[in-house]
Amino acid sequence: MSTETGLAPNSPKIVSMLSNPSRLLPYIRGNELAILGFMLLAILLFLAIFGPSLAPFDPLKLNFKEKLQPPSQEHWFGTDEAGRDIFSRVIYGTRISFRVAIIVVTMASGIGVTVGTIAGFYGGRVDDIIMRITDIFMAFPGLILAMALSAAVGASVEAAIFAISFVWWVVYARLARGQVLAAREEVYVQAARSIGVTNWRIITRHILPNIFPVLLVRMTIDSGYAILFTASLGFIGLGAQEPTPEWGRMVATGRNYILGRAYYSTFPGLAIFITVLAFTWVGDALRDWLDPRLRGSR
Amino acid sequence: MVRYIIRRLAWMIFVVLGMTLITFMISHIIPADPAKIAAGLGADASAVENVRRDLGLDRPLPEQYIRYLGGLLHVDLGRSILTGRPVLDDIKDFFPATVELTFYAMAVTMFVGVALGILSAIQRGRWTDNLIRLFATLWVAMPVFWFALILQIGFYGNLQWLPAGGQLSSGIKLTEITGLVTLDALLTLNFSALFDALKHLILPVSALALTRVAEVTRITRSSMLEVLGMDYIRTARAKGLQEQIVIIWHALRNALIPVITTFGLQFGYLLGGAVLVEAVFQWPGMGRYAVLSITSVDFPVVMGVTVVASIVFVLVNLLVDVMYVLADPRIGYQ
Repeated sequence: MSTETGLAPNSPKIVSMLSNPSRLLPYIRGNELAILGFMLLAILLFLAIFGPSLAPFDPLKLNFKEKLQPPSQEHWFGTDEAGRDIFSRVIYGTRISFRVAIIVVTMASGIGVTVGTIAGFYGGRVDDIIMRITDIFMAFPGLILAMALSAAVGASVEAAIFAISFVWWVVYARLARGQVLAAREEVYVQAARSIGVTNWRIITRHILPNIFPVLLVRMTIDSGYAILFTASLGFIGLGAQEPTPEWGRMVATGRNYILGRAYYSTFPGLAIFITVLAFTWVGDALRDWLDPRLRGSR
Repeated sequence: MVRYIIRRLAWMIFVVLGMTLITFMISHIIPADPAKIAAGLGADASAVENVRRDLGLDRPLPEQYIRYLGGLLHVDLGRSILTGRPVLDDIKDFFPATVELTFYAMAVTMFVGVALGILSAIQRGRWTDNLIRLFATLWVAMPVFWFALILQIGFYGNLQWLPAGGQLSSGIKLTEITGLVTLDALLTLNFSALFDALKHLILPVSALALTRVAEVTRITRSSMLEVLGMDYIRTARAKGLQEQIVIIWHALRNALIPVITTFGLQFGYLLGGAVLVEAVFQWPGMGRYAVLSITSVDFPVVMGVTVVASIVFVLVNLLVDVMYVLADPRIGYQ
């Protein structure tokens, strides 16, 4: 058996995961939250992709005659100050949130894992320097740094994506570094080295596939938090701008009309809450499935 | 031990220096031309150039950074574009309110979080544990600003039990000593003001703390479970010690170490959350100040708040590191 061409001997989880998805079932069946999480996530994903064609009204169409209506048969979540259907806007918001979550998590993990792997694998000076840099980034409270960056660049969805990635890459760098440090000492890596496998190959074909499960769990749970983060930025005015139906922005706008019209802020906020829950439950289920021992690596 | 603290201090200085580099870079990516803004509308090209020279904006970047650093060392955070006042003065006004809010929120987070975590661990598997764990899972997902709004709608809008926002009701007189309202009320024995202030604190603190409580509960629970499984706990029980003593004296002291470690992290989240909660409850702190200046694109203020909040965060983390070493002396010798 060659460690050069195939995956490392002890990456059973990822191999079995990909070849035998039914193995996931026993872990889900017994876990109600996981079932709920998967179902919710499926629904949300469906809404993100097909929502725009399913939404009953145009989320941007102004209709001042019907402004600020409470929930009714026609407008399930009521209407906002421009007469737009809140239900449709919340559905469109799902697409925005998912788009942001995917981009942020991809960017943050892409940069972070690369940097962290370099630090963990090569060690020494490189590791020291990279760790000092991450220390500096981590010295800022997350939302505050993102706030400063978004305000500097100019409020927009792209700015929010950039800002959150700017804050979060360090998390993945630390995580990857820790995992790589451990993986580096494994026998299969020593073995690969001893037969002359290049560093690049060791990293890409042996180490990365093995740390992938931990990263996947983190990325899943972080997708929910990315949406939370974006909504928080949106709430204080950074991030998506009117008339884009971003959930955080909608909660903020709803505040102006809150007396007697709690529905305006309630439904977008509920959407955020449910989405984050779904990602958290699915992430937890993934973690329990991939390795119960990993529970401590949160 | 002392060497460890000195090392930590040196690290802190290095980190703060690095932070100023980042804040400086952020200040310089704003698309608008700061010289034009400072010169005001209608200023012609030569006037703008004069302003640019005055503010040193025509100097090379490294020199600008040195000037910026010098300014920070003299605690000069620039001027608000909107009011023209030094940012520092405004922050001095708003700082105590944020300190008060975050202090109480941190206290609630730690006490309630640790208590629930211990309870959850001791009652492992039973319905109390499952209930607490469910609560913890739900609350970590809760958007702070939304929850704050719900509290406001519920307890003020519908029930009228608690005030809508602010620190004190208008009409309450209070002599200012420290700027911390509850402390000042206590020091001047002004109990009606104290009671009023506490009433105003309930909702913002609850909104801010509850999301963090969930996190601390989870950490305490898993730490506690790990410690309770250890041999020395079995020995203590075998010795015939009362269960309460076993739990509090032996288990908890060791289980708390990871909790202390997370104290700094939670404080960071709390600072971020404070910005949101202050906005909802019109709490007169730095957070609300920052949010208002975002709306009016008053960038120096946003940067000023960022710098101050970050330095406070670094100091708190330093304190946590020292506490950590006091709790677990083994760390100091690494």
